[in-house]
Amino acid sequence: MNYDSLKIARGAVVCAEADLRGDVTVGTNTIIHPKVRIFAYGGPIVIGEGCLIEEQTVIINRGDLSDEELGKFLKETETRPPQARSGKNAPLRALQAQCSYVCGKAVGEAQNIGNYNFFEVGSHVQAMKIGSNNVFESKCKLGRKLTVGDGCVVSVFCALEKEDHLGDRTVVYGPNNQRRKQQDKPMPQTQQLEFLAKVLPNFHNLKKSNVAASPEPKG
Amino acid sequence: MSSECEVNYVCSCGKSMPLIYLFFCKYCVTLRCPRCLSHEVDSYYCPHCLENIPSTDAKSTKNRCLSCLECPNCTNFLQVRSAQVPTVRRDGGGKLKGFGSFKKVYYQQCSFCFWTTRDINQPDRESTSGPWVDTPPEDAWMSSVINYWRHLMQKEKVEMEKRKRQRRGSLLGSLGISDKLLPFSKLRGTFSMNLAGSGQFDENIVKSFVKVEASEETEPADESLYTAPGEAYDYATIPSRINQPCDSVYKSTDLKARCTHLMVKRSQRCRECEHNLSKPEFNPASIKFKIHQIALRFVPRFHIVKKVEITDDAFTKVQLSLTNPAEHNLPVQLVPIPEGHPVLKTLTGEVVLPGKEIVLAARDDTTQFDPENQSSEFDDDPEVVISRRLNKVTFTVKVKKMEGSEGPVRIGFVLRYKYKNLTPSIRPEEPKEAEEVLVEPVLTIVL
Repeated sequence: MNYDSLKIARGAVVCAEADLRGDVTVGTNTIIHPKVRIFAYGGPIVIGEGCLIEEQTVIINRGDLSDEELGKFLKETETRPPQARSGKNAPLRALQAQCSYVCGKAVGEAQNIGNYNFFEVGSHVQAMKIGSNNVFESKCKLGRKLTVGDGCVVSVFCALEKEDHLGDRTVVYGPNNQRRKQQDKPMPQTQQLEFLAKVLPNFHNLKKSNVAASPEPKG
Repeated sequence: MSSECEVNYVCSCGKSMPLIYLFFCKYCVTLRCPRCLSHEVDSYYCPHCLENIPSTDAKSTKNRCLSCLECPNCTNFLQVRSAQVPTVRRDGGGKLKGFGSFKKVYYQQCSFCFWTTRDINQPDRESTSGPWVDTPPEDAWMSSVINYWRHLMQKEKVEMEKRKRQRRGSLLGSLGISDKLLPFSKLRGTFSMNLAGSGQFDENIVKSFVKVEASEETEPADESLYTAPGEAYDYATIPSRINQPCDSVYKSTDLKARCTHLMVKRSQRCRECEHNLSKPEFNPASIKFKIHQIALRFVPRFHIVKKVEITDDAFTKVQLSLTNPAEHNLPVQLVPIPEGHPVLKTLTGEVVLPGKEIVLAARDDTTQFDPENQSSEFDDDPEVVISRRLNKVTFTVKVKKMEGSEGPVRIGFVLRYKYKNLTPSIRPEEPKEAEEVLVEPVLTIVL
């Protein structure tokens, strides 16, 4: 099992400035902005198609990391530029130097993120299972034990740390994390996705795609 | 400035609160709290579209802005959103035949809690113009009722007047000429009848009035309430129910978007001398004031520089800073509170105040960003005054906890300084020396 296997489907736009470490799979039409940190530390991460992941988002498969270690890790990686991928197998020792905390397990629990999700600027995602058509607004925080259904909206700065499941079409808003159900799912951001797919390559270097079809969610 | 420590100024009425809430009446030369002021409504405006609404319009719309809506769930503003929806072609029997071209539809959405008009199954509109909120059907009934009672009231009034006239007797009546035949009395009669008919009412509605009788038996509750598992999200929250008392909202699908409540620009005046202390500008978008006599501009402000532990064994030094609001040098003196002041009962700490006067430097907005060393200009006692910066002075007082007191340490003193009314006089030929009035606000500081 290759620790550093980055699978980017054709049609996905992943900026070179995005920091993806570990076993990360990205679906078609997904757009990953620069300065995104996706760390598959405790196991692989699978991101579906049509997702829009904006700057400074952290998606982390936490595994057994404690809070302090996670905080330290995030602080270290905040400003350090990601290493340029050589494409083929980087030596494991060099990899260990890059990702200074290496998972002891061969295969960990996979973090599955569904299709057409919208991660706004600065969101922090540790939730292991996320459905489709969700919107996670700026600076929201999803804890490790949370699972999210389809069509949910987590509003700006809402932190959901406890073990919980957000049912379909739940809206979490307000300083006290009030909830309500909405009738319609949030619309997928097709306009933005198309626009960014055209414009981002003009201004950023992209990581090359190496997988033809969109991958299936794991585990 | 520590947020836990509090510096409270005592108003002339006895209430104490931080200086930011107080006003300074320069005619009475004393502090005024919001309760010592009387309010007047200046103008009405909508907080969303910031449009000024004349008071007659506000009255007729019951203080609501007709063009803006608020979310029934969280009372934030609703915004119009558009969506592309395919037009549906149906054949004669109503069966779905196919989809046509896309058309634009509009609905309202709250940007805070994502409530939309679709949540209450309100159909999307095809144009943005026109009112979004329908007038409730009860309005017509209500206005009929009110007009009917008005009509009755007028009728009674007319009859009473007639009786009065008949009792007094009329000269013409004694002559044998009836009141009704005279031209003036006829006009009088028609006038009052016209007034009664100012509001139209439907006779049928009036006839349908049924006397309500109280009974002990009530409708039994719906069985499903006991058996069906209810989800919290299906029912409206209590705040949103209270916001819509007319509609007796129960389920979240009963909620309706309401017109935004108007806000008021108010001016406040001192109850004693009736002078205006706060008068906002007319423009709703402006946050400035025409008259704004807040205490911050007239009274020196205290801050606690650092929080220290205060014991009851010995005096601890506490650093306080004092900021000068006036544009001239201000000598201040801290004196103990006079005997008999009600605040003395609430104090739990003893304080040793600096005996000498402290001179505060003038406030000069031009030198805000390049402070010069001013400590040489003033003759400061180095034990009392620690540092100076522009119009701020940091000095120490010694505080000790009173024996047997519990809880936070509260000290009190009086800040004595002279207030100069420097507003230019109306008659320039009489240059008067600006009067200096002694001001002595009482302060309590919680450490």
